[in-house]
Amino acid sequence: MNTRVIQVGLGLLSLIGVVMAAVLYLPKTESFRGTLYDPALPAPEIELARDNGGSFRLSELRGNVVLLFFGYTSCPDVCPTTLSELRKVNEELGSAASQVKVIYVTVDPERDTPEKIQQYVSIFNPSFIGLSGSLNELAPVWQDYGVYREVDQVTASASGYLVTHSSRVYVIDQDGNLRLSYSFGTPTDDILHDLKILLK
Amino acid sequence: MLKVRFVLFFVLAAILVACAPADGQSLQVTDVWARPGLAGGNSAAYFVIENGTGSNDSLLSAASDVAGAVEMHMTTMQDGNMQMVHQQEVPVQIGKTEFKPGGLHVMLIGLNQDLNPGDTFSLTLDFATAGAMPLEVTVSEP
Repeated sequence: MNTRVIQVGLGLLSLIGVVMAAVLYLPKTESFRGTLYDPALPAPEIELARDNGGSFRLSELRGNVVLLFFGYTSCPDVCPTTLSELRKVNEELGSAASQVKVIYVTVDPERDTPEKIQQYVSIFNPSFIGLSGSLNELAPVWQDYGVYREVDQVTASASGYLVTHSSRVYVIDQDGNLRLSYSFGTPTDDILHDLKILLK
Repeated sequence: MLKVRFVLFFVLAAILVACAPADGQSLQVTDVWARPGLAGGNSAAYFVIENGTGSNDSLLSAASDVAGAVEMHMTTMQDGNMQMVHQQEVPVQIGKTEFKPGGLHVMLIGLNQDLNPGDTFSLTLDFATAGAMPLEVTVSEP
């Protein structure tokens, strides 16, 4: 009886030892701070005309990390705040910034031409890509990414109209998978932290 | 004669002290800045109002020559969507009222000129009690 107790005790001790060794020595996986897509989803294609007459295809950016955001040029607060933060992220990445592309797609095609939105994002960083198109071209893109967008005609404003829209920043990895998203106001340090993991 | 001058000096000094706003008992606007923007486009101005008057006030309007129209707006989050709501009036209660990104802001609609970092322009805030307050706004990148 006593021998059996000793055997069970030794077995338990061995098991605890193995678990502790695994915890201490197995490689740790760094966790992301953004909202994770688990499993990662293939990012839906975006194909729109560029301001320079060329065309843009999201799939042609494979090998880069893409930060995707939806907004509009008449938006005075949330969109420029987010673009300023993405510029800060871009600057703090240093040389690695060349592997990160920032894409800004309009939710206001009535007022944002490809030229206008490209000029707008270039104020923040000349490497940022601004995209627009017709309502028919953009509606499937908004739908694919779950972007809520509604023209607010009710609010009386000299701005003509305002557009209520979702304000998440999406992260697409080098393999073209939708990996993460961030809500408005996420600290830039959190975005930088996640990008550094993806760029390893 | 010397005594008269002495009395006059104190009377004048007393008047000056009475007229000057006592420190911490006035309404002050600090940290005034605006985003860069392109002519024809929009921008936003931000600031902090410190109401040390001891009574609540209200911001009735904002005006500037830099844009075709100037309005007060509030950004709110609803179900993850950002919405801007035009404010006819903003309560300025005792203490601090902040106009900041993602919240209250003065919307500059239809800029008459490009706003580049370092540029300055004037903005006048009109308070119900404190009256008109002219400010110099500096364009800067946050």
